[in-house]
Amino acid sequence: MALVRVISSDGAAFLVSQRLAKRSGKLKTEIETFRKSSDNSEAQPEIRIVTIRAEILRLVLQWLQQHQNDPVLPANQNEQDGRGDAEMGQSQWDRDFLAPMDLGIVMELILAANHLEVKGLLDITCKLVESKITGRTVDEIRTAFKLKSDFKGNEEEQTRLENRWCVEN
Amino acid sequence: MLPTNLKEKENKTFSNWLPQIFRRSKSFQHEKSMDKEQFLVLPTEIVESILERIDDLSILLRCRLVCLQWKTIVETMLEKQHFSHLPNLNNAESYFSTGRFKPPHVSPCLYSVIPETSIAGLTHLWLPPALTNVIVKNPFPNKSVTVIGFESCHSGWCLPRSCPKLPPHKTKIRPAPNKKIVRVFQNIGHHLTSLIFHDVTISQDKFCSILESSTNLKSLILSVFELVGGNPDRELNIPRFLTNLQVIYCQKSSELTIKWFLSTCSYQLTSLKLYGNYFLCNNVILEKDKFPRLQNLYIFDPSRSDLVELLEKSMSPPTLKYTTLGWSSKMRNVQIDEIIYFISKTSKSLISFKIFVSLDEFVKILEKCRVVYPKVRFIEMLWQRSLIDPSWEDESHRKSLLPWFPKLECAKVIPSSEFCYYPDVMCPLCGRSEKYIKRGLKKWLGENF
Repeated sequence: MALVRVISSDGAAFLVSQRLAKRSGKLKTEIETFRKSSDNSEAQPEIRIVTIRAEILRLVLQWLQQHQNDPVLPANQNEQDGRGDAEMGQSQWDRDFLAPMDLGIVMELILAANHLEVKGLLDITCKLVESKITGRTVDEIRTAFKLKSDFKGNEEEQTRLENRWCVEN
Repeated sequence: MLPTNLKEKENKTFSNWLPQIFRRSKSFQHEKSMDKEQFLVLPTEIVESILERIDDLSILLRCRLVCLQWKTIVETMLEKQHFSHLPNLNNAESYFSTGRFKPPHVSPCLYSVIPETSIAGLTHLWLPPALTNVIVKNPFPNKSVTVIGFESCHSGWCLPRSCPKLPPHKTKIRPAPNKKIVRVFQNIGHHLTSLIFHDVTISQDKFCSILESSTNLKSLILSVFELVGGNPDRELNIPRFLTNLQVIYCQKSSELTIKWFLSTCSYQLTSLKLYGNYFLCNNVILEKDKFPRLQNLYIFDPSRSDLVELLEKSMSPPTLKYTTLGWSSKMRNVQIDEIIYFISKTSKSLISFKIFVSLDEFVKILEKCRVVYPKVRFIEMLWQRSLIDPSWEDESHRKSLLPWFPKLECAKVIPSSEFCYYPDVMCPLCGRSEKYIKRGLKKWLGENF
């Protein structure tokens, strides 16, 4: 079985099968680039991902492992409404997978899934974050995401006023 | 907006944001130790991919209040949804549709206008197979400016109170908008997404220079508008986002200039509405090559001969999705055959076609067309209240339409006077509407005027 070494930003190496790695759009491209540039077709590709640390990379690979038999979703599927089919059939495994994570880890996972082009993972993580927005007040959202209001003067009040007109019937 | 060069953005994003995410992630693990540095901004594309999963408008609007970055993202998303293919019908239209004055910059919105000036027996049919809700408020009221001309009861400007970066003394300029018009637009033009002229006479040169200052304009409404000094060869840089144009009750005297403007901007329009212009720019309208992007076409009350010519000659652009043809009672002698011929030529992408006919006529059209609409489940028919027979039931209408709409669940009759009011076909701002405008302006602009 052809293998590939995937190295995280902090130097941890993961040895995974190429079949699995190719389920990530980014890794697939990297492997193909490596094949073209390498004379020795037997050589084991080594891909360094400078933006993802080991803990997160491990989670991504773990997710890929679990979902290795799912059909690959094209990256632009359902682009119009931004929804993939993956989130429709979110499995119990996915829920257990995400349950212990705090928001910071989830954010990192979103970044990683986005970078590695793993659409299914991106869908379920974004969905999770979305559920944290729904049903919260503005202040609660800010607290949850550690965001600070950077409105100046009465901008916030103005925005609130505009919102009223948007929903008025 | 999506970046054109994704890769570049990706790299930039990652090198910029990752360290912040790491720090943030740590701070999540130590909830208690919060310091100012932890308030950071998430990468735009991530926030985008989270927010675009939210359907509920009220939740989106709440997100708009979180911080400036989120506000911008939500606005871009709403703009994409609302402005891309639906007509940005505006407050100028609320004169015509409701008769009630709504302050121009407050709630410009999308309307479906159904005239009430029908003669006995005329029924308004409204057939939106794909569209379920056409009333959408403009989420960006503070980016719209209305210029009301001298002749109206209240000439002057209606500027948003919160127009960004506008010097305070510029928010009220009156009367004679013509004198300072060009200079004002040099100041504020680039902030605007929507611009309305009502009852304004202006020279072609000034008009061009206004448009050239309004670089971000998306929607333009010319209502009772007169453009003088038509030079058909005048070159004009159309704002590159301008996709919605409405020409409402324009004067015959500016026919040539309006034609010039239409042909200048036609290639980028996605929505065109011609309403009550007794000259219809036939040779401009609906030629495939001239309107390659047109998705939404609304024509109301053209002249009789123009309408016939339009129905017979025009070739609809392949992108056309929504079409509305309407006429007031004068035009009732339009032949069904002509309409059918027009429908048969409209593009396959058409998902909504509205016409103003009686139920009998409509059934005749359906019979002749031999088209079955397998997906339509809901039809609304707008009736003049006085014509509704209390013994009529929605169920009987549903049955009469079943052969063409096999999945129809409901054919609902809505008394039209309940939600729309249509003043006489002549200039709608004369006479009876005037008091509404005065009252409305006073109410809204009392402190400014």
